[in-house]
Amino acid sequence: MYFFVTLTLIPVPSLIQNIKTQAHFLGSDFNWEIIWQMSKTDLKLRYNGSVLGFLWSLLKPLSLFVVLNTVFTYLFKSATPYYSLQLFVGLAMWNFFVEGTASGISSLVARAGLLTKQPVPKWAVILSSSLTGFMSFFFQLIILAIFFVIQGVTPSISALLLFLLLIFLEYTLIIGIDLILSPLYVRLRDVVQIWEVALIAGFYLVPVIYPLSLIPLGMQKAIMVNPLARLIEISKQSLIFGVFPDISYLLTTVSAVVGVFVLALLVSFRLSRKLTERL
Amino acid sequence: MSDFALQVHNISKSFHLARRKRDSLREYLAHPLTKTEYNTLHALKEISFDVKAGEFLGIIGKNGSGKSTLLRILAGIYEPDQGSILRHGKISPFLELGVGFNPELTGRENVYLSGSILGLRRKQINQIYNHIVSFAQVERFMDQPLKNFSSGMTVRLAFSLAIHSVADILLLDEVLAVGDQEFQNKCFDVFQNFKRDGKTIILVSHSLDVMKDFCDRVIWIDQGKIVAQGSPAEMITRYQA
Repeated sequence: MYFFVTLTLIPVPSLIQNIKTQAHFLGSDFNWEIIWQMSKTDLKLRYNGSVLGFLWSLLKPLSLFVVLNTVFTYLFKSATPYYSLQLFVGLAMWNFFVEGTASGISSLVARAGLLTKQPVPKWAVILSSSLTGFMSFFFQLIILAIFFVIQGVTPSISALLLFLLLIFLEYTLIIGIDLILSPLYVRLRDVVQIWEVALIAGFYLVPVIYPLSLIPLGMQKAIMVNPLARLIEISKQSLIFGVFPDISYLLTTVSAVVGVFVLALLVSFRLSRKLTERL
Repeated sequence: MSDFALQVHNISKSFHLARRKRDSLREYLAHPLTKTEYNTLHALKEISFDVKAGEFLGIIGKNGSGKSTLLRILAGIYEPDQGSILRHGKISPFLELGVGFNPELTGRENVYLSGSILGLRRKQINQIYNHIVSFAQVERFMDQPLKNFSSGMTVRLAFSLAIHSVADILLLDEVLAVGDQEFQNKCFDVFQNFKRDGKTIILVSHSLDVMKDFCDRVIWIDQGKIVAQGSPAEMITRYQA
């Protein structure tokens, strides 16, 4: 619904014009390697000079996990089986979201020197920075797999396939948010601060530290409006307990993510017009 | 194949400069009702010109006359308010040397990163890597971080990478101003070679000598408008007058 309302706000001619101006970047001319090169550089530079280097991208979420696990196991252990495992799945996905959006939102400003000197498409810059977050998520997944083995839980093949889809959806969601907020950040430098505050609150609005079953039904429904909360909850249920969602529930989740992404694309076209001049 | 490399038709570009800078929320909250006031700067006004394939075109003008804005629009970095540009060929803009260079990365890593930004594929860089390094005379340093390079070495590496990534149409913005005399001479040789190879070059510069030595035609821009265009000798006389 909100998707169609927003559609009417966007003048179609300017949208077509925008797609045209972006289109030449998508031709055979476009050098896709630039995205990979930039994200590789980001990854290299992030922990440059630190002794433990890339390990930090694992140590940080792991220590957060240890702290939360120690504190909340006592509260929730009796209420739900495999609490630690649930926490780890949720935390890994939450971290992915936090990292992907944090680096994505500031990406255009961070690469101002490049964007004002070479005709590099903005979406390539956004994509490359979110790819960096994906890489550290990938390494957390390896730890997650080890954790499953230790706990003696073996997810079924179909649960793993579903998880792949869910990761893809989460990545789509992250890019959608980056597409809107990164051009907005160029215009309004408060965006990063607002987003950081929103994430602090947001952490309690997704079922990561608490099991969903523990909260009142009405509140559960409100929380599950958020597509990210759905992705996390479906992952936990299917990977650990082998409980799969209805097809219709899955489809509405997919369409919510796709809706956010399409909306983001449209808004981003509008926000990105004559943006380089402001960098 | 078209005879023209670039056809620029009726380009205008203006910038809106806010009188008060309003890019923080506090500013918006403090003055919620006042609309942001702008000073409009007309950087380019109805610019039209053609560039023939293989031509060496110079653009001359004072600081703030709109030269760099024009170059950025030709490169596709800025979007013009109106007008159109037809590009017959791939453009290599060099508004700055060493775009994307990072001091913490090694020389080699920088070549691959910056090279991809300049439009080179990994395979292509593999092929020309040795040429790039030997032209820049930095063979022994390539596995060291760029911050350990002297500034001269960095510029040589950047320049070498740039000239090895050249497509059909070159846009040059004052990059000639770098380096010592010997290196500058080397650059000029390279430009002569490009000209022989039939590349189209558009050069923005203050230097009248460079215009005289290289350009087939010079366009003089002032306050966003084309004042005159013609042979270098003629333009230089008028420009200096």
